[in-house]
Amino acid sequence: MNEAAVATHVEQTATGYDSRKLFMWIFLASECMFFGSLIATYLLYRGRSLDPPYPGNGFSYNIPYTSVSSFVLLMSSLTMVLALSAIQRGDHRALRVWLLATAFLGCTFIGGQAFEFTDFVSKGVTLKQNLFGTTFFVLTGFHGAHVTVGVLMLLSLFALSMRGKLPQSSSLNVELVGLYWHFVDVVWIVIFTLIYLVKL
Amino acid sequence: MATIARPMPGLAPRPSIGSRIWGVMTTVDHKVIGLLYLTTSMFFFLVGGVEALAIRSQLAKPNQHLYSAETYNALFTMHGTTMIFLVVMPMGVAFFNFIVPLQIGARDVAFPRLNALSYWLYLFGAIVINTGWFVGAAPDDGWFGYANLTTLAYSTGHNQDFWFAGLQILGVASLIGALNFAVTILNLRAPGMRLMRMPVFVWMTLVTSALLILALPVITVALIELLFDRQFATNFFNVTKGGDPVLWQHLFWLFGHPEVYIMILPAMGIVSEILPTFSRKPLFGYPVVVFSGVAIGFMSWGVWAHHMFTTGLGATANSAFAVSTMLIAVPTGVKIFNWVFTIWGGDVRLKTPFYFAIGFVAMFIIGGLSGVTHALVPSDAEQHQTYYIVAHFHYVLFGGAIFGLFGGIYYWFPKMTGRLLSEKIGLTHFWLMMIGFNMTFGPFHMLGLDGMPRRIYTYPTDRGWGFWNMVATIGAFTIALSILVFLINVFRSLRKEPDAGPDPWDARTLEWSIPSPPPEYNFATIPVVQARDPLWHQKLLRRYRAPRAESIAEQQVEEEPGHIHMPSPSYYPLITALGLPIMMYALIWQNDNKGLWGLFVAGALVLLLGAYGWATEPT
Amino acid sequence: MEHPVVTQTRFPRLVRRVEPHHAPGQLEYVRIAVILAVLTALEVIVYYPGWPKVPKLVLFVALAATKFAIVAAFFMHLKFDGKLLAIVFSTGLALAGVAFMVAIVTIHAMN
Repeated sequence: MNEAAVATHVEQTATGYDSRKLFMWIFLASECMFFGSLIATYLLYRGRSLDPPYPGNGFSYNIPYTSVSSFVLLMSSLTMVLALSAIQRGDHRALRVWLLATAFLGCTFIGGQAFEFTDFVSKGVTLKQNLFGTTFFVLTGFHGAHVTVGVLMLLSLFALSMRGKLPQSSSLNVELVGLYWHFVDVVWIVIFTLIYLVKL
Repeated sequence: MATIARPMPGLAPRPSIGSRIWGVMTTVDHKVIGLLYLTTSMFFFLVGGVEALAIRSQLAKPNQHLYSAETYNALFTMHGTTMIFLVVMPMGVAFFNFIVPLQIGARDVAFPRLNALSYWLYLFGAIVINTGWFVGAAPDDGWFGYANLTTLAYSTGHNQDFWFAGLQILGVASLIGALNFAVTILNLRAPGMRLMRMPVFVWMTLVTSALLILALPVITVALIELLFDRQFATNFFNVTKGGDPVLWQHLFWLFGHPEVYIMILPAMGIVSEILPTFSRKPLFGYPVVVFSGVAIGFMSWGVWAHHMFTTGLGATANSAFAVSTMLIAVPTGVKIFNWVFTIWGGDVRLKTPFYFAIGFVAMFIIGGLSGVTHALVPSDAEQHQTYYIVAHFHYVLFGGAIFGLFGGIYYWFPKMTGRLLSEKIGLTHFWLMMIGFNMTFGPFHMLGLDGMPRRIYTYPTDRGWGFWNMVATIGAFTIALSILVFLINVFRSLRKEPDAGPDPWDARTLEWSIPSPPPEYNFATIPVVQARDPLWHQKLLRRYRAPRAESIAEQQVEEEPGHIHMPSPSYYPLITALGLPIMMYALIWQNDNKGLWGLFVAGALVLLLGAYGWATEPT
Repeated sequence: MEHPVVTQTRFPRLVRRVEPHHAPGQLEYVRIAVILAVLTALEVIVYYPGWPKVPKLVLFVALAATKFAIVAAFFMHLKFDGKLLAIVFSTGLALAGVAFMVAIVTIHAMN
């Protein structure tokens, strides 16, 4: 194979990392503080609601339901990494399939959240009702918003690929969206554990 | 990408006003953006200064009623908010922008369009937060917006909504900027510029960026929780539902304490550049100064509750935070010694930047000492909410940060504009400001210990506070006079022909090896760095080892750079930035008019379309 | 066949970086996902009564931390990238953990 005929673009940075990748990781560190603040607010106010319903008083989580939801999001991380693997191999069809799969699983998760929210509201847990409603909905709502932004990015990548504008040399773009996506998944792991599973 | 061949002198057409304005609106050049930050922050310095003069006029004599108490509340709220978020922080960023790429031997920052976005968001955030003045609802609950005073129950107008909205935009601007600078410093250093060869100013920029990146999300969440309480009736700070106002304080000060180091570290970096240059001696103990800066960054996370000693934290928490607060004075003190030892034994050139740097050191020592007295819980209980605290933070933020930033202006003005500022006028500015500053804030120590509370609109005659308040007011107007002198200096200098040359101070760092003002591409060839203070190293090498070798500066001038690819201008940062204030205005008024959700969606669309255009435009 | 962008360091003697071609293959990724699913199932099992000896809190935190580490190390590729990225991310994570624990403890101690 004539290597000279293929242009390998070599970038030089002082650390050896692509600037966009470094940027994304530092941004994720910042997001740890963002979700940390929201989770801390929830944990602080746990058990301090003056009015019911809240877990332990007229309300309990549906753990089997939420664990299915968590499973869906976990699997979406798998499809995400398979998408990245695909573009790194130059397999554009597989890339598109896995991107769509990830977006689909993400939407399933959001749909599950939406259903859970309406269920909670029907049981009297609203944003305004008490500390539980306030802290739960704001925390999980912002997480859901992050998932939604992720889905939009996944679909944008899909559209770019369909139009032939996502070549193998641009695999970093998929990797960056992937890092964001995995992070959102990892935040859910923390939320599922601390908010749903751990009882006071 | 725009390809630049160096233009032949005299052949480039003069830009028209229209093309100049368009040029600014689409710029992605870190030097232009740096100047935008500098001029905008200087403008808001005047705005904040006028607010201060209004406060000082009201307090000059007892029992005055120059205007209403509500207006007074708005004045001190906006004075603090303006000075912190619209002046000190952005002025630091102005120098990060202009100087850091030059000092590390780079052509621009890592993400030039994001850099432009940061500036536009700063400008729009500043406009949103000041909108309140124009609708009779300026923020008036203090610059730290304590809940639940700021919840709807106790703050019924839209005042605090402007505060929240503006701050949220400013927070995004700063976060993006900090990410940009962190990546730039880590990734774009010239060959040979190891971390321990970087100028101290670059190190301080890195630490400041790290603090911003980790602290801003916390205030973002605090502001979101407050917004939700005000707009959507949630219960974060609603005591009747079990909410706890102390949560606001913890979140705010978890951000707020790193924030004060975010404000001071850049000025410390500037002083660490000025003192060696004008002492003709390398910085004493460079590794120690760097490690102290990093240590301050780390430790700044462990002291926040010292702002809350009177909230009833309990003996354990009080003691723990008192000890950590006393400890953080150590790396700060270490730096002071290093600066003093830098000057000691040096061949000192008494120029204006040097005066401001010395002024910083002296005033910061005073402010630091009063700060240490706050670390002791019993004495803080006495000082809290009095003018003694006001004295402390003005000594460190004005005597410290502002003096340091003015030092930076005098030091780097020749590099930015090609002209030197007048020494005579500069020294007049310095002494007037020094005298005025101490006249204003020195008495605050006495007033505070004599019991004068903060944020009071007026005070009775029989307290005996009248004399020092009058002195302080005269001092404040003296400061104003000094700023006028400064502005005269700037305008006179700008009208001169360029006379500075690349290196008027015989300085140490890479920015002085290129023309003043620098060409768009900064360096014709990326320099190879062999030591700390690379320019001095080069000059000494030439003098003692290779007299006929080309200096770094000469390389820049003589070589044909060929074609250098610089990032193209773009209007997408401006368009994307516009989306946020539109969304914020909609949020502020949506409780009065639900139709505004349409405006919110429109703003989001502007944001999304701007981002889409940005992502897909050819680079 | 196109080649991906290669990023090199300007400081080859100072920066030790792992070459980028040690990524797990597709089958490994599926295996990792199965492990994650099993861990999730374990969490659900632990949730229900019947684990008398070990405190549930410890188990939940351990399971969550393991899942977190697996996703970060393998799916996010941290194990194969150099140390800087891991340090950057861990700093944010550690700070969030410590600072907020201190805040919560401090507030609880007030009551």
